[in-house]
Amino acid sequence: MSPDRPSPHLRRRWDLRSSWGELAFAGLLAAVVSGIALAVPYDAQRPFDSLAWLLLTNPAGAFFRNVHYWAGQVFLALTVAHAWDHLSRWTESRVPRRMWWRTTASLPLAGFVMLSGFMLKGDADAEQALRIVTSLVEQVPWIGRLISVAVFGTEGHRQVLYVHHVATASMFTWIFTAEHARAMWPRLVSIVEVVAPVAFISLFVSPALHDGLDPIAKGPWYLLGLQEALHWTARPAWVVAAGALLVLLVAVLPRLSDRRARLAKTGLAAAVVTYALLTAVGVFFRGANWALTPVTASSWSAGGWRASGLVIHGLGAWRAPSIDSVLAGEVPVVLGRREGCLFCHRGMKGLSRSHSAEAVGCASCHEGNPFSLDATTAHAGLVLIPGNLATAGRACGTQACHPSQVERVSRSLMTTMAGIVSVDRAVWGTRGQPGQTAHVEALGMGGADSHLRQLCASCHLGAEKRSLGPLGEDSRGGGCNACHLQYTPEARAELTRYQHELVPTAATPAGPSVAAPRVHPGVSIAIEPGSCFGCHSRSGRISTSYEGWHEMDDLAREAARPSGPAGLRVLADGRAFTFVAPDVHARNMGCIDCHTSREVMGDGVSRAREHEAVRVSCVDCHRPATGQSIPVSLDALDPESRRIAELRGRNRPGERFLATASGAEPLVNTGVDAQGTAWLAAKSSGQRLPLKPPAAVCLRSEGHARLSCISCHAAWAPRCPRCHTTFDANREGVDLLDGRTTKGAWVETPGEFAAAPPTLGMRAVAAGQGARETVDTFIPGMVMTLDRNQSPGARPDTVFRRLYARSFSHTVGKSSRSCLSCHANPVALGYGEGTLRYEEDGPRGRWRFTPRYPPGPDGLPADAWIGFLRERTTATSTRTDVRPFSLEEQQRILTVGACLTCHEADSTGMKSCATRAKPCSPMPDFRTALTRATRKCLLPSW
Amino acid sequence: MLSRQARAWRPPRQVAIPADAMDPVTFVDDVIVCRGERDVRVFSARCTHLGCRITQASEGLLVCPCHGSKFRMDGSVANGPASRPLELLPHHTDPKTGALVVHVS
Repeated sequence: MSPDRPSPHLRRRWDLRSSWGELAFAGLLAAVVSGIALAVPYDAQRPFDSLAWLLLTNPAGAFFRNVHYWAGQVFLALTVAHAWDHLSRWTESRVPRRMWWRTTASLPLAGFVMLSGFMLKGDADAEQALRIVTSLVEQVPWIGRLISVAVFGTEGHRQVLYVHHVATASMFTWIFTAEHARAMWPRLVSIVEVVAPVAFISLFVSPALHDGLDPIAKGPWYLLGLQEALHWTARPAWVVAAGALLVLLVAVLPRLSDRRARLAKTGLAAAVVTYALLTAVGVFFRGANWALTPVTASSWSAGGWRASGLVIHGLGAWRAPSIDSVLAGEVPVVLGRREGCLFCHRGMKGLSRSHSAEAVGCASCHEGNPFSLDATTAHAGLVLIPGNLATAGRACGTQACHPSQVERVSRSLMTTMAGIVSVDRAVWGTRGQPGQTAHVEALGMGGADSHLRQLCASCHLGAEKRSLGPLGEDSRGGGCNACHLQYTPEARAELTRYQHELVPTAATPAGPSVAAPRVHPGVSIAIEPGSCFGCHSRSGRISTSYEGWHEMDDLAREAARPSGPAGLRVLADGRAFTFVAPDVHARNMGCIDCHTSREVMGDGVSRAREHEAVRVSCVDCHRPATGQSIPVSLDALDPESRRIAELRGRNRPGERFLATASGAEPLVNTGVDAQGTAWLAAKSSGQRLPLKPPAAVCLRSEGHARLSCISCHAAWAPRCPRCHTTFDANREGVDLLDGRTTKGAWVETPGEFAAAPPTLGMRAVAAGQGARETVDTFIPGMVMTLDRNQSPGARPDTVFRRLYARSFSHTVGKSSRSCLSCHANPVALGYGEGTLRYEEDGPRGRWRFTPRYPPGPDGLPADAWIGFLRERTTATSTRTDVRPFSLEEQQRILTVGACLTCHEADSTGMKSCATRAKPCSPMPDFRTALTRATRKCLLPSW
Repeated sequence: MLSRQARAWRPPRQVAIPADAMDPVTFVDDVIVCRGERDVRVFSARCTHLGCRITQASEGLLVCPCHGSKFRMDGSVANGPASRPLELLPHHTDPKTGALVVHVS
């Protein structure tokens, strides 16, 4: 270039058309100037904390940080554009050859300036980026370590990196740029053309500081292409070598012949395009752990700033208080991060020590933006009710907190409803077998699935708790909150106050002056039966039966009406219950006193049916004196049980616990003292309760060896046969899963409800070698007609099912049911309600049964399980390991029943008193007893 | 020689894990403690791919957040791009406090 001609720089002073290079240069200038302003509040010794403090209390500083960031992005992007522009137009020859290597060097230098700036954030992203880059650099042979330390410093000592970013690299980038631009700084026009949009966007979009909550830790967007490439190779050194070769290629370009240069440029262009594609994959299609998880619309809007690394906000974000008015102590550091939430929400009470604001802060559970003191910005992305299963993974289930519990719950029956779904489908007969693992959230739209959606699908833990407040009778689901959220009276009162003040009235127009709640509901293991009540007062009615309440059908309710509501309990959904008799355990014990966390929260294995998940049994506490298993010591507990034991104050050395017989799972609320006496401490009250062994009669084996505890001790069970289910195409229904109204509704017309001692049947206890059966309790599960037709006007598609379900009614009585209630009771035998009479028939007797209800479609009485003295072996239950009594068993039972029609149950005639030496047993060996039958005895004929 | 992972120089230090941290997997500082039924293994949390800190376990595997490498609880590689197993770290138990003291260098 001739020195006499004025430089292009001066000739084009007011020319509005700036080249890419001029704009890039302007970006560099803006970045440097804003960087000087930023260097004042930035502290290289505590980078993360100084930046967090900047965001919280220094609006001007934060604005300069935004300008610095956006100017840097402009500089980087336009540098690439500038290089592409000149190389594609073959104008690189304007740069003298001796200068070319420095011009080339400005490219990796620019990259280093950007990357070092990212690393200087000091947050989780920056730390991981540092680890990756230093690992790559250290792979250079011999001098790798030296370069790494000289450039990046060592962990915890990043001062040298700061110096390189601020001074070395910036200085040399400026020098090399000015050299080949032949101007010390860009034109004013170019500066304005860059600074104006940068300043504008800086007002509304801020680069995020990683809060340590998000499992996704990604580098800067321009390095994601490199990360994507590194994901695919176990030899990262080759990727770096490839990048170095590309730079070298640019450096030798002026020395190549035209043909080779053309080839080289094509290769460079291809490399740039490939890198752009890899970058797009890394930005949009990689989530946590670099797994393929595209950024969806919902994730963008909910925590979008996390997905993009940017926070979008309004001008209100600049309203944050300035440094002068905020003291460092008012924004405490929690879990290594400034918790801006606590500036406004200080003094929060109600949480336990492990979940208090000092221990975990607010953002760990509620997310939001802890780096802002402006309410709107801070509450962006806030999760008002964490603990729902959709957010539990990020709140309760992070690695530092309860990861295994959240994983277990997601597979537990209370989340999947696998049994309910698979049984409903099997009963429908359209697909599937009971016992297949199904999931309520994977329901289809027709047939059994539509039935489930409308009638069943709200009772699972995946259902969201959307409103604040305690769990009640109509609560369904709520994830972790379903059990672990407890509202004290103070928390309830505070919520009422807050919600009342939020509603604008003439006297109290709601505004920023409404004080945020000061009392937080508790999150703990103090789970009350009320938490279980919402869902478990439906279906088998376990919760209500346990407390002694039996649901009334409409007829019974009408009949009770004249006497008034006294003695009735009406639930929130309008169902009425009458009092029968509570379970003996209900006086002192709640649900979780028996049911362990591995039953309720699952043990990580997807179970198909409830009976596979329940492990506790009566004999775990009510152990016979002999054969008692060795108690479990404190040291032998698994980590979770150990922690629970500590929380419940049971961590003194020498503590011993009972364990379940079935799976050797420790029962943390039990204890065994030095004398070997076992006791149970009620989890709610702490009251110690003795654990009595079974009565001697229970252990005698004559004739009743196969009885389970509840076959005698279940005092009553709810029965509800004879219901009819049909589809009304004209009625509006509600899809409980989606929350939408549907055209057409499934209508269930119930039959009569009765409370009676349960039906008995047989259940297989173990398979294979030790196979045996036990007598167990059953109730009508689905004795119903079902019209599967959903199309109006089409022919009915009716099926009839007669299925009884094995059910423990949770109505344990202190004394057992009477002998007659099994041996001469048609309901107990499975015949249904009616009159069972023993009549003389010549020298013998004959049993006759008159059912109460008319026959169903299959000829059996409407509420029966089996026909009178008949057998059923197929389709009797949805469980394959249960069955009704066989004919022989019915005959044996009724033979005893025949004797009981004359002899009192406790008479010597009924007891085995063959010799005086043998004590009289009320459960005799009946074969021996029959040999003593006199001529007056009427034994049955069949 | 290019593929030889040069060990970065870091000053030797010790990390103490309190005695009551009994979970099957504990992540503290640059250290992962895996407690099996019979033994305790302590690994460096630096992924053998590019040195990222491994911060989580999922479904019985240790997962690196940077490029998705997965390691089994015995330190061996279950899924790439890492190719070498996690580095085992020497440790001892402090007789006074019961804490697990790990030598990181």
